[in-house]
Amino acid sequence: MKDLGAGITLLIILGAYYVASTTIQISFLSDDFGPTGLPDIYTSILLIISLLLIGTGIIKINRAKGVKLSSKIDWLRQFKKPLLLLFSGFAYIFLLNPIGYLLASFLLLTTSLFLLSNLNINKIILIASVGSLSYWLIFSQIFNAQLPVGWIY
Amino acid sequence: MDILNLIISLNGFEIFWIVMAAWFGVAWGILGGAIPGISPSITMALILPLTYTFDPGVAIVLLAATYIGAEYGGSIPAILINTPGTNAAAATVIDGYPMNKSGHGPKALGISLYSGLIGGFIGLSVLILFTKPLSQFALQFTPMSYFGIGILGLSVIVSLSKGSLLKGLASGCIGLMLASIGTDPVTGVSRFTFGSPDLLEGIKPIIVMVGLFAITEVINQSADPLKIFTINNAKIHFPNIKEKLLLTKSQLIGSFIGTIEGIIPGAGGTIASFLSYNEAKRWSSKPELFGQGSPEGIAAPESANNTVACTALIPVLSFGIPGSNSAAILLGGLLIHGITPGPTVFTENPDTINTLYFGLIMAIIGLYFIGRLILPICLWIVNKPRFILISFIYLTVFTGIFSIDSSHTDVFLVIIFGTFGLVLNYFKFPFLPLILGLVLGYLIESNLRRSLVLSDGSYSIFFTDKLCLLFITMGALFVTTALFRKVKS
Repeated sequence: MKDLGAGITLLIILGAYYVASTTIQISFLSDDFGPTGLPDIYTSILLIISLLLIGTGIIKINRAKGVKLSSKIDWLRQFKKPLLLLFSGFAYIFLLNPIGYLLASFLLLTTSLFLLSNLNINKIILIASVGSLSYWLIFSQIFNAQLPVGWIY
Repeated sequence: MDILNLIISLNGFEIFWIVMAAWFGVAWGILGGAIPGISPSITMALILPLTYTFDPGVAIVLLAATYIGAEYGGSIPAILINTPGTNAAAATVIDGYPMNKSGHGPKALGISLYSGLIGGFIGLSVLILFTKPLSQFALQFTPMSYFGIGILGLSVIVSLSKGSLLKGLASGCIGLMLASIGTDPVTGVSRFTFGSPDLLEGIKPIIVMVGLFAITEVINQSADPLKIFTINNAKIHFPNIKEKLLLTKSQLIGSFIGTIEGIIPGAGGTIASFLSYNEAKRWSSKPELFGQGSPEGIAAPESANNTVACTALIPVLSFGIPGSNSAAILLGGLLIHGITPGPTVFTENPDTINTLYFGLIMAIIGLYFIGRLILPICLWIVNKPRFILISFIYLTVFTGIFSIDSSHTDVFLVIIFGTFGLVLNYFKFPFLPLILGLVLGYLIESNLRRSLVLSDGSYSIFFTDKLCLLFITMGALFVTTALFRKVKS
């Protein structure tokens, strides 16, 4: 089943890649290969591999017919924390500019600690405050990184 | 002898400053290299303004020692949190992290430090003794030879594909596709950038690595966040004599490949690490342990990338050709202090060059002491509850990646690649072939097309260039051997 899924995933990737490759401009300075030469070769190779994977996937499914699939996993329960953590990462990127590095990092640490630990909120706030402040000091003062200050202030 | 004469001629105060510069550089480099996103070149660039007022010799020692420290530092997060701190440390993840996961983190760190020292000493010896003849060899490299090197590097995909070979090849192909994002190397046309100026330079390999390894691991581990890593003490286990003997073969392989790759401008530590991992596996008496926490699997890439850190100075000093960003900063440091690299640098500035060599010896010795001081602290940090680790790794990754170019796109890409990594993980696609494809894609495409321009489109040029033919033949040999082993097993 996974081989079939893997083959279909590859087909989706190469479909998107192929569509994007059709928008590449052709230059008058172009050599024999051109800017689309190797991308076309990669597309062809990945197409062959994905078809082979789909083929082996179908064969495996046919062989496994009659074998009972393992019990259903409680997806929402098992993946709730990872999905929320991933979502908090996306939210961090969008909050970084408006509220600034320090506050966004504090919120990211607070959210992830709240999601993942059994600590009480006071401890979480303390760890997140010390953590975000330390990171700001290390990166902006020692490594001289240009961290966003935030435009809402 | 020149170095001995130099040491005798220096007073205690001068020696003190050289040693301090070497040791501070190593410590600073390890710190920078250990933070994913802070590359060796960034670590060096940050310290460059400090060197303006220094004596030229001390300034160059500080920069070169930072480079050595950063190349070593990349292995620490690779072993402890499955995240290579530098591109060259990607191959260390393969066996370093499984070893740490099985409770042998202190041993893995000890092996990486020991192998780094061996690689560093071999690289330094080559730099001091063979700079002149090896620099002539580097001049033989044509675009066809670089293409050959790229193909040789790609051949490693076959042995890196655990489980399904098809999935390994697919993963490598996706890496090559990612490498085609950005400006076309010959015509300058933009490809797959979707109008974003941030993508014109292509996708930085460190972003893909951090996304695939760190974010995927963080998200995976967050399903069970209350666990604690089972490292009972925070003391580094340096290999004993028996273990050292077992590692010798892998270290020699790593150092040999590191020497060759180091003298070729642009080849770099990443290719050297993967090639030496592949060769160490091929020549090992226990190849089945590779990928599951094999000490040899850590020793080979670590000695290779630490050898490269020294031998990469050969083209910089001999011709003024920087093969990497870090080498370019070192070159900048030399020029700021009025030293023009080239064949005459050894006769016009012998004192500065000998000071550099002496400083590098001190830097490698310092690597041992500073490593032993820093590594227990790193182990102590990863002994914290997993929820603390996950939260702080998450923030470290975002901050580190943002710090590269202050780019939101980079941070966005990291999380996109993290999500993509979860999909690849689910379908059991290996990550390493993708990394290899991404690192080698540009090298292969640009040199393939340059060669064809040189030959008016004739492919025979790849067979008439001796080095290219040698590398392609070696690649074919690697693929055949790996396939034979796979079929046999």
